[in-house]
Amino acid sequence: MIVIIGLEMVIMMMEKRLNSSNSSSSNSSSSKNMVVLFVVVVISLARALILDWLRSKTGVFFTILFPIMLMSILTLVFSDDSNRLDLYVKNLDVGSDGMPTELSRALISELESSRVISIKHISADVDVYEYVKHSSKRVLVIPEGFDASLREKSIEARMMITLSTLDLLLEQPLPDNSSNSSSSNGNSNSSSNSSSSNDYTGSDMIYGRELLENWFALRASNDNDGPARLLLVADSSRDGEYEQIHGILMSILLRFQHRTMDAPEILAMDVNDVNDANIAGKANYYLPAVLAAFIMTNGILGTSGIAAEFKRKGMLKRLMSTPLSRLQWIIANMLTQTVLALILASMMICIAVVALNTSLPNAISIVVLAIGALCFTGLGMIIAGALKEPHAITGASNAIAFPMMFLSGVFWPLDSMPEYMQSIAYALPLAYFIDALYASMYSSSIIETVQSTFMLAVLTGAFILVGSYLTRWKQD
Amino acid sequence: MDYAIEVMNLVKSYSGKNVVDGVSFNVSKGTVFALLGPNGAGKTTTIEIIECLRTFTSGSVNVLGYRVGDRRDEQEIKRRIGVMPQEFRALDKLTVRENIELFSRFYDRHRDVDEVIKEFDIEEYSNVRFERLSGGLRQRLGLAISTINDPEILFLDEPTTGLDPASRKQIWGMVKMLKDSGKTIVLTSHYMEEVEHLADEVAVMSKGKIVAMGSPYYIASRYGTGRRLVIKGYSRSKMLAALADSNNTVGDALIISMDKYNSNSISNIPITEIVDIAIREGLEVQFRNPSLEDAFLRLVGRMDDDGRLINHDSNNRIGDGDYDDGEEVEQ
Repeated sequence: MIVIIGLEMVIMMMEKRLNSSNSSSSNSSSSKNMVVLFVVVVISLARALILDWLRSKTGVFFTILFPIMLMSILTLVFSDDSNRLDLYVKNLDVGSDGMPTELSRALISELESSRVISIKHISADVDVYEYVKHSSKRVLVIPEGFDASLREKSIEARMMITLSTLDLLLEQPLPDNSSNSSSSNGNSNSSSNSSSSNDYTGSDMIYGRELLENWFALRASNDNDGPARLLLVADSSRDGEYEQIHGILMSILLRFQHRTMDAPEILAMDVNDVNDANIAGKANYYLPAVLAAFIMTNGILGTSGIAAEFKRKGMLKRLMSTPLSRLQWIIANMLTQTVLALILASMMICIAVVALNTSLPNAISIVVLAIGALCFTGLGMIIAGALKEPHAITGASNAIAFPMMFLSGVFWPLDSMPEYMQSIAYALPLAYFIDALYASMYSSSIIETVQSTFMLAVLTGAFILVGSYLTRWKQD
Repeated sequence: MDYAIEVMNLVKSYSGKNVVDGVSFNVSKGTVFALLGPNGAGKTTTIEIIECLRTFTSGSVNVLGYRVGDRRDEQEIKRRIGVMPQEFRALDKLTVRENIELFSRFYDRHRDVDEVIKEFDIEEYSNVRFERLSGGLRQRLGLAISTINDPEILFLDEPTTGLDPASRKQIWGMVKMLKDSGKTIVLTSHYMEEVEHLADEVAVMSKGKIVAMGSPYYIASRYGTGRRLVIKGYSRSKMLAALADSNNTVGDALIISMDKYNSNSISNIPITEIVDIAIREGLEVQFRNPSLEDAFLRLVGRMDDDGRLINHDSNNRIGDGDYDDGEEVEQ
C-alpha cells in the first residue's frame, strides 16, 4: 500500500502543478502541461493496475508467496542428505590423444570401486568455484600432469628407499676392500654364485649413494618437492557430509598409493573450502534464480494476462476510445510490472535475509531486477500483440514461460546440463537474467555482471521495440 | 443543418467481403440516433469506425467537424465523445469512485467526480468494488464514466441488454436526462421498445447496408403491418366467431388486419357494424397502430421470446437498400 500511496501523492502533486500552470497560458507552459498530463495518465493507469492486482488475493499469493515458498522448499530439499556421497570429478589430466591418462583413470576406478562414492564427471571448462557456489556439490580436480607427477614421485619414493637401505648397510662393518677391488672395476660377475650384499664393496655403496644424493639434489633444484596433489573444492558450510567424504577420500587415496604405486606419501589432497568466499548458503543460489523466474513469469503472464483480460472484457476497447494513447498504455504496463517486480523482490529478499541468512543485494541488483522486469514485460507485449484471441494469449504465455523456467537453470545449475541444453538456455533471456542477478548479488567480478546485464539489456530493448510495434491501438 | 456526425459511402471490407457496404447517414446535433439491425448487420463495425476504434476501407466519416482517419483529429474526437460499451466492465477490484477517478484522468478537462456520482445516483455505492455491483449498477457506472469528460456525443451500445425491467427504465431515464442536456446520442439496441421510447431517428441495417431510415413512427407506419382491430372475448359473439376462420386469433382475441382488406368492410360486414356488435356484446375493442417491431420483422428478420432480433430472414425482407422514394434516407 505504501507504493499506492506514493504513486497517488505523485499524481496529486502533478495535478496541483497542472492546475496552477493552467492559469498561465503561454506556449511553453502548454507544452509542459502536456508532458505532465502524459505522466499523470501513465502513473494513474499503473496505479490502478497495481491496486487492482494487490487487492486480488490469489494474484498476491501466486506472485509473492508462492515463489517465497518455492525458494524455501528448494533450499531445504537440496540441502538434505540425498546427494551426500556424490563426487564430481574434473579431470584435467589428458594425454595428447585427448583421453584421460592411465593413472588418472586408475584413480577414478579406485574411487568408484569404493562403493560409497558415486562419481559424476564435469566438463574441463567448468569454473569449479562457481559450480560449487551455485550447486553446493563437491568437486575433485585431477590436475594436468597428474600422471607424470605421480610416476615421478613413485620413482622418488623408491630412490628414497634405496638411499635409506644404503645408509643402513654403510653403518654396518664393511667387507675387505682390497680382496674385492676388482668388483669395483666392473668384475662382479666373477662372484655370480652369490647375490648377497657381501657381493658389493663399501666403495660401491658409497658411489651409489653419491649418485642418488646428486639425483635428489637435482630434483630439489627443480622445485619439484612434495607429493603429487589433487584438489578438493567443497563448501563445508552447506555440505553436511563434508567431513565424512573428506575422510573417505583420504583413506581411498592411501589405498590407491599402496595398491597402484606401491609407494606411500606420494599423493596428497589439497582442500579449498569456498565457505570462505562470502557465500551464505544454498539460498544464495536459489534467491536470484527463483527471483528471476518469478519476475519472468510475472512479466510475461502479467502483461499478456492484463491484455487478454482487457480484450475479453471489452475494456481495451473502452480505453482505446479515450484519449489514452498506445504509448501511455505501453509505459503504464511496463511501470506496473517493474513496480510489482520490485515489490516481489523486496519481500523475497527480506525473507531470505532473515530466515535463510542470505547476503543483502546491492544497488546494481535492483537495476538488474528492473531491466529484467522490463525485458519480460516486452516479451508479454509481443505475445499479447501477436495473438488476437484472449485464450490463445494465455496459452502461448504459459507455453513460453514454463519451459524457459526449466531450461534456464532455475532449479539446477546450467553447468550440470548437457552442452546442447546450455546452448538452448543461452538463447533465452532468463539465463542472462539469472546470471546477471547472481553476478550482481554475489560475484566480485564487475565484468561478469556487466556482460550478463548487457545481454539482458539488449534483449530487453529488442522485446520492447517489437512488443510496441505489435501492440495495436486501432482494430483492423 | 448542423450535424454531429456525417458518414458518407462508408465501406469496410474483410477479405474482399463488404461488412459495411456504402453506408451514408447524418446525425443531427442534440438528437438520439438509433442504429438497429440483427447480429452481423454491420452496425457495431460502423459505430466502432465512428468511435475511431477501427480502420475503414473507403468513404468518409466526420465527427464534430473532425475527420476520422486523421491521427490528430481522432485524438480530438476522443476528447469530445463518450462511449458506453455493451455490458460495461471496469477494473474489478477498484471501487466505483476509483474507477471514475481513473477515467477522469485520461482527459485534460473533466467533470468533478462527486458531481457525476451524484448525478447518476450512485453515491451509496461509491466505495463498493466494481466486482460486487449488480448488472444495473454496472451500467449506471458505465453511463457515469462515459460522461466524465462532458462529451458532446455519447455512444451507447445496447445499454440495457440483460437488465431487469426496473433497471432498464432507470437507464432510459438517464439517457433522456442526457438528451435533455443537449447531448447527441448514438444508440444501438436490439430492443424495439427502447428505440421507440428514446430515439428521434432510426436507421435499420441489414447485410452491411441501411435498408430504412427515418423517425420511429415513420419506419413503423411505412414498413409495419398496418392498423389492426383487436376484439377480446370474440367467441361470445356468434357473428364475430364466424369471422375467426379468416382472421388471426390469439387466445380469445380476434385480430383483424385492416391492410388485408383495404376496405371499410370485412366479409361484407362493414367495420363500423363489427365494432357496434362487439360493443353491444360488452367486448373490449382496440385499434392498434403499426409498431416498430412489426416494421423490423418485415425489414430484417425475426425476434426471440425476449423481443430481440436474432436472425435474418431474407424472405421476409423488402429489398436491400432499395427505397421506394427518397424520403426514408436523409442524404
